[in-house]
Amino acid sequence: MDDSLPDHVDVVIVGTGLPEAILAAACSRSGLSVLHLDRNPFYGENWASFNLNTLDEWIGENKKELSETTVSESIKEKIQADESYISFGDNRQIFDLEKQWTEDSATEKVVKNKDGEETTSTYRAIIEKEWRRFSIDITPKILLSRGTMVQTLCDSEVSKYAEFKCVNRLLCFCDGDKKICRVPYNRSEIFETDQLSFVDKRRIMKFMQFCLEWSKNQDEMKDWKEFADKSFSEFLATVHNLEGSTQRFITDAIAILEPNPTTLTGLQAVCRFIDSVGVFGPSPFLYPLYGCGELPQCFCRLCAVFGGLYALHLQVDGIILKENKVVAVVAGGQRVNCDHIITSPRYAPKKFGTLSGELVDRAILVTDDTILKEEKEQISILSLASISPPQCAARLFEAGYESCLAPRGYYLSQLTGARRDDKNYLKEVEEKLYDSEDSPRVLMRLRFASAAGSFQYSEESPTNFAVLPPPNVKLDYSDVIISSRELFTKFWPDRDFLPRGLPTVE
Amino acid sequence: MTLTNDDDGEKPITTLKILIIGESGVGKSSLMLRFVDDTFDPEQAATIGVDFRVTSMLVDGNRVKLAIWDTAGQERFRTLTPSYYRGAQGVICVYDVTSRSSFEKLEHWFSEVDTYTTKGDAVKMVVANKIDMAGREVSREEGIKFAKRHRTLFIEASAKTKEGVQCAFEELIEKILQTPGLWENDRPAFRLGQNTARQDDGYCGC
Repeated sequence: MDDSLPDHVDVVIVGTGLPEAILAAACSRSGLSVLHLDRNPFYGENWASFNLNTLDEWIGENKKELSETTVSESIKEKIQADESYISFGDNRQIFDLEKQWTEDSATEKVVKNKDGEETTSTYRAIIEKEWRRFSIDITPKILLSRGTMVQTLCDSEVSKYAEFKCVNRLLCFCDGDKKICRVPYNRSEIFETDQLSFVDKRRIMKFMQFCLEWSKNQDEMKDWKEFADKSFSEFLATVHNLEGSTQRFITDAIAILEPNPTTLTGLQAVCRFIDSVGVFGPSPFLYPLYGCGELPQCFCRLCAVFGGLYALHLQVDGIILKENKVVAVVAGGQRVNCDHIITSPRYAPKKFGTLSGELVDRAILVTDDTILKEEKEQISILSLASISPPQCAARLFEAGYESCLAPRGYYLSQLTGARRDDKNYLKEVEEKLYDSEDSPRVLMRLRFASAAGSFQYSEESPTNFAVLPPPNVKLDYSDVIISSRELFTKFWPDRDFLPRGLPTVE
Repeated sequence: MTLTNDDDGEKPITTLKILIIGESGVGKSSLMLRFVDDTFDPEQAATIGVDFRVTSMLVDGNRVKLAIWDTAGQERFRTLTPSYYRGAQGVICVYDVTSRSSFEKLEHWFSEVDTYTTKGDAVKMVVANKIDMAGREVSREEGIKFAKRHRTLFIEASAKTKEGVQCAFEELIEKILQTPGLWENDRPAFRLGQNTARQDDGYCGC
């Protein structure tokens, strides 16, 4: 077996997070030679999903002190007289990590062993034994049925590498935040729900009709422009007589794609929602079986099928420059010449720029039950807009065995929210959700914050070097596709971004 | 029991995901192409552009659809994705009888299978390829011993001369169908871009 890297490729991509994977697939698909590298032994960087054991390894890696990079003699030998060298960064992306098994996890539970005998075991022991059955997203998001991610997956045929399920429950707080209610997705669910009065049902339907027309010709529509920059709630109350819980259904849930909306952004969010309803089922939202960590791997596979070369768990040293352009990388002790280098924020040399500094707070809970019981297991999104500052865009995503995320009978509850005013609001939210007598038991808890924001290039950054964005707080993937496509088109304006493949005969 | 590759248009009772793994150059793509297309290219370059191939078989009068997945070259630096292993019911681990090191690396491939396969009872098979070639470095007995230790099926084959290829796939599929619960899908999901899209219950019923 030949373990050496090629002498030259068109593009070197460092980091296997989702935006990097999409770029790798797009480059490879359009005929460019791609070398895709990662220091981690796994795909996906902070877009990955882990089982209980690999999650602990990830926590360990992210708690390590960052070491200073040194330039060894063997690297110096690879640099020519008219060239310069700069080490890749190792920028921290995950902060404030804390993981704990709760007191409840030490509770004993009666279980049947293989021979049908009853024995007692703690929740923790039961869960740890099933470590392989977990798939824990570091960045949980959903796909909009008619959104750009689904479109890209289908066009590129990357869709054949993954399976999906509908997020079948959209929830929000109602009755003065005391109760969690199911939000109707479509016409028939609006008529059937017992959460709304007859009058409110008619008002909601009338408002939906307004949105359908608005999406076609908003310029000619009356009664909204004067509210465009004002709050969405004010518009709904004044123009559509939608107030209280009924209004919350719309602002918190139906418009969940745009938290803290103005009338304009709120209407846009509702229209995107409506547009995706009924495509794959009543729900407009899709979730990948086995978790979001599947997506980067699927794009990487497409890259490999078209000849892209993968090396993980590799020492990724630095960049060789000539006349302020990148000309090569040094990785695994080898020099690989290249025309472009694209990295995730982790690898960006500080001299070339830094992230703008926003943080996304996360909490991952393993629970023994769902937040709202129904006969069948559900995949749920709960808007937390009414119990946290709306600017946080806080929400909860909950799924379990049916999505291949947890052993049967257990759930992963994933909280996400932007950090505002240096405060992690998720802690309060979690207490409200899980501290009452009849709420599900929290067995394990992991909290952390991940770097978000955009990369601010310095003047010294070479023109053939680029950094893709970290995960943001948005619920869906549209921004990821947009930023990947933007970069691809900037570097290769004559090439198509993941075009539709030729029809193949099986 | 009858096994044929003919398509009679009958609806398949199940679709099985079969993986082919092993070191670079042991003939994984060649085995797949021999089985699916009955072709062999002695000049076959390192795998580029081979993804997965779909074919079907008749097993005891029931049509079974097979999706056979190649590694897409990702085995070169041992960077197969966990996603590749998801939901696989059968795994074919290939070594080259003229390369001792490819045989020794089987242990690595087996541990990867055990880590990533989501179905604990997925059927594994060891295929010793290139038995037509001179310069054998791994004896049949060694191969059998390895397979016994790992409790898997074993077969010697040559993608070039066809020997053992059909037989290998048949044995694997039979064993999968005989394993209760392995091929029934307990957690239904769907793929995008197929005929899954429904256009009813939206708002635009107008």
